[in-house]
Parts: sequence; structure tokens; C-alpha cells
Amino acid sequence: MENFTPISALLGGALIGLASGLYLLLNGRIAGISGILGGLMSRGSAMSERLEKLAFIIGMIVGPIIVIATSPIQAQSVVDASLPVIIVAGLIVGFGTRLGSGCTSGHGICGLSRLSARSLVATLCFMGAGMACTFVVRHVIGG
Amino acid sequence: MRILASLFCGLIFGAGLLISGMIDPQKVLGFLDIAAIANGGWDPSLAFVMAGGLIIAFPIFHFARSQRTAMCGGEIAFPTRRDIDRDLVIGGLLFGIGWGMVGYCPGPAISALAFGQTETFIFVLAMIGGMIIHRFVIPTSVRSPRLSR
Repeated sequence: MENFTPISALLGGALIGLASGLYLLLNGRIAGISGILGGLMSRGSAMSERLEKLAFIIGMIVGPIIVIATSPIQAQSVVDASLPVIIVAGLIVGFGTRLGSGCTSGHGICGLSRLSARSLVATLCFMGAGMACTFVVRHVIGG
Repeated sequence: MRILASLFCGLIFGAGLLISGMIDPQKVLGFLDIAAIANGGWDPSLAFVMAGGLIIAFPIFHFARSQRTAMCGGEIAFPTRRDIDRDLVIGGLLFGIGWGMVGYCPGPAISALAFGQTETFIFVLAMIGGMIIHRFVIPTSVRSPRLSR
């Protein structure tokens, strides 16, 4: 378990939880990233609502830039997959999160905080499928 | 005001994703790879991210139930759906498969755009494509309203 980082995981997780809680208290909305991104593109939503969602997305990108620039924290984001796999995975993640009305944030953090059985089922589904898929990619195909 | 609040929450969210390590797909896959438990290479960090998130979000969500309106005005829109239907399960399973393929779920993929890598950009574009496909394949009338009082 040489890669295990419990302190930064707990701290980062707490910030994610704080952001989700604040978004609910301040704006009255669920901080589900797939929902925010999907809502940005739905035809029905008003301009003000779109700007609000866009601001959240911009914050999500600028936040890490600020942390990297102002702290000694080393971070990376390593994508180890071929182009076709990246595209197929992106399509499935986009489609699946909309069909299942949520992702790790909306169902995982916000849904479980509401003690929603629906979100618990969704979380178990994507955790289970994610583990099964990783097993196939790393140990069956990858060998 | 709502837009500023939204930007602020996004900043904290993105900072959290970076600090937690979840912005790195290899970190996420290190958790999803439970076969690595056998040889001691498993990384349980993601479970600690969830725990940290729930410890903070749970009491705030509980408190929000007692509030009539959001601080920036308007209603607090708790999801009302309770049904566990086929779409929820299939959508969750599909998302999990895509998650395990690369290691990106929607939040970290967007925040990782901060690194300016082509692979991340392509993933996010494909993800948006998948969301648009969903909008056209599943007619609006079939979809239940997701958020209401």
C-alpha cells in the first residue's frame, strides 16, 4: 500500500463535501457534476441558470490551478489508455451518468448524505462495474 | 450573487479533487483494482475521500432540511425521486464501465483540464458527446423531473 495517502484523501474529500454542502445552502442546488454539465447543454434552462453552472465548471478548473501555483503540492493526471479507449470511455461515462441521473458527486457524496436508497443503489452499481472493468482491463486484457 | 457563490463552490470542489488525489486517474484505478489487495498494492485512498466528503456534507445536508430558502434566494431543491428503476441501474453500470476504462469520472475529468493535456480534453469532449447522445436517444417526455421541492 505504498501509494496510500489517507490524510490528503480525507482533507481533499472534506473540501469536496464542504463545496457540495455550501452549494446546497447558498444556491439550493445539488453539486452533481454530471447534472451541472448536462444542465449546461439542455435547451430548457434559463440563461442565468446556465451562467451559474458555467461558473461552477470554471471554478472546478481554476481551483486546481490556484492550488498548484500557491502550494508545494505535487499533482498529476496520468491517462494511460489509447485514443479509441479514451473516446469510448468518455461517451459511456457521459451517457451513463445522464441515464442514471448522477455520478460520484451527485449520487456518491450528495445522495448518500441525504441517505437516499436510490443513490446508494447507483453508487454500488458504478463502484461494482468500475471494479469489474478495472479487473478486466488490468488482469484479463492487460495480463 | 448566485454566480459568484457558484464559482466559489466550484473553486473549493476543484481544489478538493486535486488535494484528494482523485484528479489522477491512476490513483482512482489504484482503488478500483481490488485484485491488488492480494499482493498488497491496493490503494484505499478513494474510500477515505468519500468518508471525508460524507463527514462534512452529511451534517450540512441535514441542516439544509431545516432551511426554507437558499441563502442566495430561491428554494432548496432536494431531489424527490425514490424509485429504483432500470435506467438508474443500467446508467450506473455503464458509467462504472467507462470509469474503469480510463479512471476519469465527470468531476476529476473537468478539473484535470487544468493540466492542459490533450487526452483529458478528448475525454471531456467525448463525455459531453455522450450526454448529448443521451438527450437525443431518450425523449424528454420519458424522463421524470429530477429536481423539485
